[in-house]
Amino acid sequence: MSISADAITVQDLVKSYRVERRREGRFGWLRSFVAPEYQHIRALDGISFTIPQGEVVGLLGPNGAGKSTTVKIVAGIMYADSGDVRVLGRDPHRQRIRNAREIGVLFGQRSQLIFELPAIDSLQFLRAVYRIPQQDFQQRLGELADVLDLVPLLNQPVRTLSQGQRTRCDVAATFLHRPKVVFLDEPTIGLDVEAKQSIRRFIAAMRDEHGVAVILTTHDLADIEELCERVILIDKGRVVYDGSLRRLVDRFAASKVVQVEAPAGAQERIEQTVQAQWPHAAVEQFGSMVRISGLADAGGATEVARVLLNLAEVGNLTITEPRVEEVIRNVFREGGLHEPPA
Amino acid sequence: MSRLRDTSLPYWGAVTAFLKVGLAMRFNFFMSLLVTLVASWVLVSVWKVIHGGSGTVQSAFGEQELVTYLVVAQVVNLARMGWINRNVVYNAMNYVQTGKISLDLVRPLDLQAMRYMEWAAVFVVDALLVAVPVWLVWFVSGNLALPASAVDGALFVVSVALAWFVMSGIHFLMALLTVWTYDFLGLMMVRTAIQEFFGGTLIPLALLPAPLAVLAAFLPFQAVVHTPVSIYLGRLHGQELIFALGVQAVWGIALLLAGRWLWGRAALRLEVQGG
Repeated sequence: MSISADAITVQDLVKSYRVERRREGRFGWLRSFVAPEYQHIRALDGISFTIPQGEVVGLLGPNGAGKSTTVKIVAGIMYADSGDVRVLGRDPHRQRIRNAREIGVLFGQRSQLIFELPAIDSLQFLRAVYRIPQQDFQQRLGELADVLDLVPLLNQPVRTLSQGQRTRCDVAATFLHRPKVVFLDEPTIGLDVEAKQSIRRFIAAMRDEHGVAVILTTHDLADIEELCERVILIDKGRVVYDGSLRRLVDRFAASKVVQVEAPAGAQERIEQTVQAQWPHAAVEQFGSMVRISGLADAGGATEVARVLLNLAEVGNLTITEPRVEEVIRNVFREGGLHEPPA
Repeated sequence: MSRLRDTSLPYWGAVTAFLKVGLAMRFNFFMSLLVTLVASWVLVSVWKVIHGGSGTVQSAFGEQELVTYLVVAQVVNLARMGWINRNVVYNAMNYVQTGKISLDLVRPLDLQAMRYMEWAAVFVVDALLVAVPVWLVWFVSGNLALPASAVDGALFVVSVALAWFVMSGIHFLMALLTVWTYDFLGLMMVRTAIQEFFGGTLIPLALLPAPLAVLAAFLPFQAVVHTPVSIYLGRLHGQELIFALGVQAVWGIALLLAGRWLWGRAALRLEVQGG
């Protein structure tokens, strides 16, 4: 086994689920009862990627794309049908217990705290589980409580905490044993803006101070924008993009938007002018505004702006950066990237 | 010694945590106490009537002996309705179905050892808050015999501990079956029904017709209830008694090994769905 600086290596991961299928026909429900029919659904169809220490990587994809399955396999929870997974050089299944000492997991929708007890009892339990010396425990607990503002929460039964309070305690539980590799699944789901911010700041600090490698899956793209330079997009069990977020946004500037203010009379003319030169652009009129989207790249947008500004009646022109959300949506709407992933 | 402490610390942590959970759930235990008192009262009432009219029953048990059997059987019934079933078994099975098992599998702990420890903690809390109070209520009301002798009393405690070991094995296997069935309520009902019958809580095994009694003798359930109660009543002596304790231990170990083997299979198959 070669020792590498990579925290996670995943190669050609394949995983199918067996799913019961209703038989066709009028009495399909009855025939399915007597003799259920199954089909295999391929959740992962050859996923590969590598994540070095100290990097926060966003794992994105539509529902059912295979994000969670990937995380569960890499975390040692489920087995893959084939392919190879290494976490810090170890097989997370064959060496599940040793691997578990080095990883931290946070499922935003599923608390790891003991519901009936105050959070401090869960943290004490984890102290025992990870054999953290009492002195270290006190010191880390102090730090976590300080950064995540836990002091008033620790002695309250978890079931009485609000979602945001509970998640902050869960974050503390995830990082208490100083994991080297962390899986965060929807860490900010259901939280208000302030709580989201404090959790993002905390994750960034863990990455910078302790070199923690993080796989982050989320539907909140603000998490991604703030934490990840690199994203991996998964669709239908395959990696469709693996590279920098910046490049993805640049390349998928299809949603780049030029917006101008123009009097009603001039709007028709603007539309015709734009359509003549950029037949693929979408032009919408609303109120005193004209919105031109679907421009191929940044150059296109500038060009459109130049042409429009030459029209006398036009005022107040803006070129908007596509939001990451729009970019991602476009990627998946168009059925993935057609160029080979960089 | 410090090495032992080091490896066992996580599991003691689990015991401590679940002791705290158990005590935090006072109300549930109180209900469990109530249910067990009512159940034992109903059973005793019914059996007193049967006892009065049946020579067969009279020749097997004296009246006070029968009452003691039924009550002590309820006291040691580790599959009783209430908190044990609700939280412990239900949770362990539900964990697979809801995917909460993920959170156990990312801990550096052996899943089976952790479950056994969890159930040990619950067992202790149940003993304190349900079993001993039920016994006391019946004893104080003057219906119950003490253990046949001090030695029998001590061996009864040993036997109850072994019963916990056997029961944990059964619970663990049942919880794993949900990996295949995806359903646990059905499994729980089947197990409860079989256990009530073949464990000897509803009908003392001595009163079962021969073929059923033989079948019961070859099932693990009698090791959970019938054996400790028989020891309490002083119905087992010498070699018989040692044999009965040995059977409990063998069942406990066999179920433990079966659990390990099945978990190896289940882990390969485990599909944590959703979320």
